[in-house]
Amino acid sequence: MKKKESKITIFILLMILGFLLITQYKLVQSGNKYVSFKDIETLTRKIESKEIENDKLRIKIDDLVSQIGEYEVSIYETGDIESVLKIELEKYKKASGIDALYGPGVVVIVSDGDRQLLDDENPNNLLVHDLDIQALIDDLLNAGAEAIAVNGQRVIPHITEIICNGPTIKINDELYSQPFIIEAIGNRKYLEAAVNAPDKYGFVLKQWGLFLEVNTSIHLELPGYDTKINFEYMKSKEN
Amino acid sequence: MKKKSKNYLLIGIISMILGIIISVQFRVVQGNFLEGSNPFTRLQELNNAYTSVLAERDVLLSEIDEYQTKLNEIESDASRDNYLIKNLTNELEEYKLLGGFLDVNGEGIQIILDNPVNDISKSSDANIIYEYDLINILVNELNAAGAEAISINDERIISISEIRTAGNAVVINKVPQYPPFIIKAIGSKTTLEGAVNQRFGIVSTLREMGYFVEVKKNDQIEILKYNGIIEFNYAKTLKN
Repeated sequence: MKKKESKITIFILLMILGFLLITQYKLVQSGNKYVSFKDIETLTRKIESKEIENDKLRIKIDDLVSQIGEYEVSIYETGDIESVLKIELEKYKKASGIDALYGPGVVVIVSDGDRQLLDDENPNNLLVHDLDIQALIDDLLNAGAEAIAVNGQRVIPHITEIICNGPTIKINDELYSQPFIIEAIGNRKYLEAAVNAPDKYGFVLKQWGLFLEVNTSIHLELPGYDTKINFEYMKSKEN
Repeated sequence: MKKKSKNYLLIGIISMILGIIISVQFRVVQGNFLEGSNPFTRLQELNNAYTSVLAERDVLLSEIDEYQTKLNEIESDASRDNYLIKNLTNELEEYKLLGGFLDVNGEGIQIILDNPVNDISKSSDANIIYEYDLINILVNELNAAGAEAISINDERIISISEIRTAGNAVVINKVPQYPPFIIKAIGSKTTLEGAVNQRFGIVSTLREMGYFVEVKKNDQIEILKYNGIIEFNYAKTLKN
C-alpha cells in the first residue's frame, strides 16, 4: 500500500514539474527563436572589428582636415601650395616604399645549415627556402617593421614576390642566393624578439639546424623600391 | 536499514552540490557572456550595435570622400595656371596609385576563401584563422603573377601590411578580419587565375585541406584604397 501511495505522489509531482517547465519556457520564449552562443560571439567580434576600423577612419579624417588647413594657411601666406605639396609628396613617396630609408633596426642572416644529415633525412630540411624568408619577413612586419630589404632588395608586400627559383630565390624579378641578409627598420627590441622568441619562425629554423643570426644596429640604410612599374590593368577610379 | 539511509543522505548531499554548481554556472554565463540578459535580447542588442557601427562607418567614409574632394579641388585650383604645381600634383597621384591610396578598378580575379563546411561524414578541424601563412602564400603567388592591387575583405595590401593571426581573427593592417575572406586582385585575369589554379598550387593545397575556395575571373574588379595613415617612428628618408 505504502509503495503505491508514494508512486502516486511522484506522479503528481512530476506533472507539476512538467507544467512549470512549460510555463517557464513560454514566458522566456515569447515567439523568439533559438539563439546559439556562437551567433552572439560572431556578432561581438564583427562589432569589435568594425569599431577598430572606425577608429582608423577617424584618424584619417583628422589627417585630411589638418592637411586642408595647411593648404589654406599656405595659400593665405604665400599665394600657392607648392611647399605643402612637396611635403605631401615626400609623405606618399615614403609610404609607397619608393624612398631609401635609414633608421635603427635588425639584421638577420640566414643560410643553409652545416650539421650532418641524419639517416634518410631529406637534405631540404637544411636549405633555406622561399617560404622561410617569407615567414621571417611576416614575423618582422607583424612586430612593426617599417621597411624591409632582403640582400639589398626592398620588400614591399603589395608588389614584391618571393619565389623559389631552383637554387636561388627571385625577389622583385632579381635572383638571390644564400646567405640571405634580411634588414628591417623598426624598434630593435621588438624586431629581435620577432625572430628569437620561442614561438617565432626564426627560432624554429634554428631548431631545424639552419644557420640564423640576429644583430641589432642603430643605423641601417635600406634602398627604395626601384624596379620600374607600369600598371597595365589597374586604373584609378577618380580619373 | 542504517546503511540505506546513509546512502540516501549521501545522494541528497551530492544532489545539493550539483544544484549549486548548476546555478553558479548559469549565473556566470549570464553575467559574463550575456551581460545580464537572456540570449535573445542580447542578440538583439548586438544586432542594433552592429547596425549603428556600420552606419557610423558609412558616415565616416562619406566624410573622408568629402574632405578628399575638397583637397583635390584645392590642388587642381592651384595647378590651373602653375605648371610646377601641376607636375607636383601629377606626381603625387602617381605615388598614391603606387602606394595603394586610391580606389582602383580593372580586370582581375576574386577568390572566396572560407573554413570547411560542417559535415559529419568528413569532420575537419581545419581553421584558416590559425593557418594565416596560407593566406600569405596566396598573396605572394598573386604578386608573382603580376597582381597590381590586392585587397582582403576590402583591406588593401600596402607597403607595410601584415597578415597575422591574433586571437580568433586574422589581423590585416591592424584590423581583425574573419572568414569568409574575399580576396580581390587586379591584373591579367587569365595569368592570375592560371597561377593560383596551378596543379599542386596554392588553391589545390587549400582544397585538399578541406577549405572552401572559389576563384572567379572578372572583367571589372573594384579595389578600395587604404583608409588610414602610415606613421613612421623609426625610419627616416635618406637624402642623397
